Amino acid sequence: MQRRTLLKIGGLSLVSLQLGLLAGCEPQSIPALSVPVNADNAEDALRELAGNLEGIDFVAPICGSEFPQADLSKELRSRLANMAGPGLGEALSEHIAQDLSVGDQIEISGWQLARTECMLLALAARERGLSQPQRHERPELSFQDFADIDHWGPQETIEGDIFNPTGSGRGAFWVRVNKPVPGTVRLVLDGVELRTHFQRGVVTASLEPEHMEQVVAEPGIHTLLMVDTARNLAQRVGHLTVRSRPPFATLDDGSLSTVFCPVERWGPDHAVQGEAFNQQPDGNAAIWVRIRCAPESAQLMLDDVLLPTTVGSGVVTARVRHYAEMEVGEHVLRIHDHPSGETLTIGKFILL
Amino acid sequence: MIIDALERLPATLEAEIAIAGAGPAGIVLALDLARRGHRVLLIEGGGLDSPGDGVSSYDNTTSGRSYPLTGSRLRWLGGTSNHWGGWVRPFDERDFTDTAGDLPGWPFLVSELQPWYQQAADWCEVGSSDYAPESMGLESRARLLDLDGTGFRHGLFRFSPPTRFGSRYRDDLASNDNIDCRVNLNLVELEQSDSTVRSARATTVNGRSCQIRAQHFVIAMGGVENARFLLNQNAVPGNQSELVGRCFMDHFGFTPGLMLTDAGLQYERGQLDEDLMVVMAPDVNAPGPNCCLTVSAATPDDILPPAFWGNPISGGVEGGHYRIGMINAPKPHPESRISLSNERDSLGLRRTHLHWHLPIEDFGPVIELFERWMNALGGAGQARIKWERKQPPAEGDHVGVGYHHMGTTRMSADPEYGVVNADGRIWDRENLYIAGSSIYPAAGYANPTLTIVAMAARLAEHLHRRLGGS
Repeated sequence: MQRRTLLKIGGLSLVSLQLGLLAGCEPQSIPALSVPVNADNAEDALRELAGNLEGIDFVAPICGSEFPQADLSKELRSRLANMAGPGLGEALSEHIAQDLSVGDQIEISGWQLARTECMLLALAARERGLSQPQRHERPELSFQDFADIDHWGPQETIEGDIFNPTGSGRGAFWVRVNKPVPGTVRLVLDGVELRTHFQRGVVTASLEPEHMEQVVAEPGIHTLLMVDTARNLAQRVGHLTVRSRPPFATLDDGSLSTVFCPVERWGPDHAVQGEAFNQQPDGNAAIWVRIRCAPESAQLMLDDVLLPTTVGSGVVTARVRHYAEMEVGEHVLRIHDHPSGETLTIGKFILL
Repeated sequence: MIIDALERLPATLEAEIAIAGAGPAGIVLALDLARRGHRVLLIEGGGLDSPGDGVSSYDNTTSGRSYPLTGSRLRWLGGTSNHWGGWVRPFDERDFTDTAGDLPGWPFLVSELQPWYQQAADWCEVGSSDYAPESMGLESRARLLDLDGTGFRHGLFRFSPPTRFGSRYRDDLASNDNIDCRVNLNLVELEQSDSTVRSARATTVNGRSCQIRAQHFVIAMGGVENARFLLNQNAVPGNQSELVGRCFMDHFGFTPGLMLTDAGLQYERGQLDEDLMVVMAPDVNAPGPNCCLTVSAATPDDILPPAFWGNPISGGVEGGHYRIGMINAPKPHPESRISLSNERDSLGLRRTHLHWHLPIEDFGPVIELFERWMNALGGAGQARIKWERKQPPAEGDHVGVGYHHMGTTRMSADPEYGVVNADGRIWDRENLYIAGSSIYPAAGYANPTLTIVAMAARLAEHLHRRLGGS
């Protein structure tokens, strides 16, 4: 019954060694495991085996109270007598599997342990003097670069602005990785574990609305870690910078915008007629605008033509699909936000 | 062409086929039919892009178990594909043979849909329509549990980019001369005889109105809206058994426990070489519902730590913990239903009221399935299981859902048990069809989108033939 002996998946067989190597350790070898159940020293071997069990500090004392019998090793040996396995190890594994398959279980804080297994744990508790259940203590977090991180974001936001919004007040980080990371990895911001998801080549993690509100409330720097919770390893991803909110831009009519900050730079500001300026992989021309704050709904406009726009962190870009039809001369570039109704003039794009 | 009806709307629109609703079903149906040479009118109640702060037409009330209905519906070109997670999997063979609670299930076998699933994979940009675990590489399969002899098997989910049908196929809709696509135009009324739809009336929120004439009409407004629209008609089509709006279903979640087994198992998306997720489900002939178990790596437990699995009588190798979740097949309860409230939206249509009936008893078979799996895995020496949740959620407790609205215009082999026939045509109307997940009589655990698209492609073939095509 031990799956270590042979693994069959879809008609293919892999030897135990392969799984052992995949899991990063090799099977233990304890002489007591191969002692025959009917051997004179079988009870001694059971006690030796019990004395070597690991990870039992909580469950063994509880099993001890479940099985207070005086001669546990004798009873356990007698229980194994009818098993087919020639050695104690196989007989125990066989009986444990049998117990679990028929529901002959002892429940400890939800864990379903086999009755036979629990008897062995009781023996272990007695051998090692474990009387009080002790939770397993996790070691301190240590820093080690375990993930091959290619790029991540967003790396900055403006005070009060939810970064990379995903709806309902949430926002998310993304981390591109060149190799898959363990499923036990979590992104951690300022010590707070984030809800982490995995896609091929990308790890994402979202901040709950309240947490997001706290993070963007004040300018400063926040540390983002990638933590392997199984191995207690941490790797620094980088720092999220929350910048002070710059003053709002002045609109054409002299009023103060409620959504746009002043444009810092933009380009290209001129091009040759018929040529795809700032050419993109799809062959289209494109314009970029560096602006610290612009709502998600903002769109760039050339003259009165709305352009397909992408609003990023501190930069707004747009494809100019109709570049080939544009005439020589000046074309006014604006940024427009439909919900607020505001339009900010950016400058004049000149076609030569 | 795509025209905004708020700006321009003639008194009459005419086509061979009129489709209301431009989500995945409506868009696929329109493009498929147009490519076969048919003149198609596709109308979408929303605009080209997100309306921002929500859509008042979808305001609703709910009763029964708490259900997040408002946020789970989107009303603009592309429909709910605009927030689709991209999970893709066809329904299983047994989903078409099992009964659906006390009602009959699908009126055909999975083989009927197989050719259309391949097309659906293309529409959804999935890349492969192979869902057999054997299609995974050897290295990937070595990182799964050995389920041989346990009564369970592995199943794959694939992932669409995800395809946002509105933006992905917008240029195709705009450039196809056979398609007249109107956005911000809402179907509100059918003019019917006893057996046919003669015409329909559509309106805009700024008061424009037009008559729609077509040989065939398809309602593809979404799993909730399809039923709401039918119920808003003076003579409710397909309601001979009063099933319109009833049997509302969604895949519901349950997270029963934690597993200690080998470290390094790879079931989750992002862990495997391909863009896949692996789940465990009962064998084809196993008793109980066709639910699946999901596996996600978890922080180590401090009662039975990973070291326990390293003991030779346990796993004998490095251990790891995994959270076990379940995606569950819903039962179609007639009392789980869409009905109409007395309040009307700006188009004059009565608003939706959802009563979600997910009784405690429906969790019984789910918990039994988990217990069977737990004992089978333990019996095979594969794992130790922590059974954290043995009791079903109480009536008032929140239950996770998939935002998969299904069943409210169910398909059947007999008009007594459904609203549409096996072609998707409303039983008592010669030229009125329903597309989308509202026609599902049963749903297994697979996400609905791939099947929505497959069924839409199948309906396109059917309509093409009805219109004289070969």
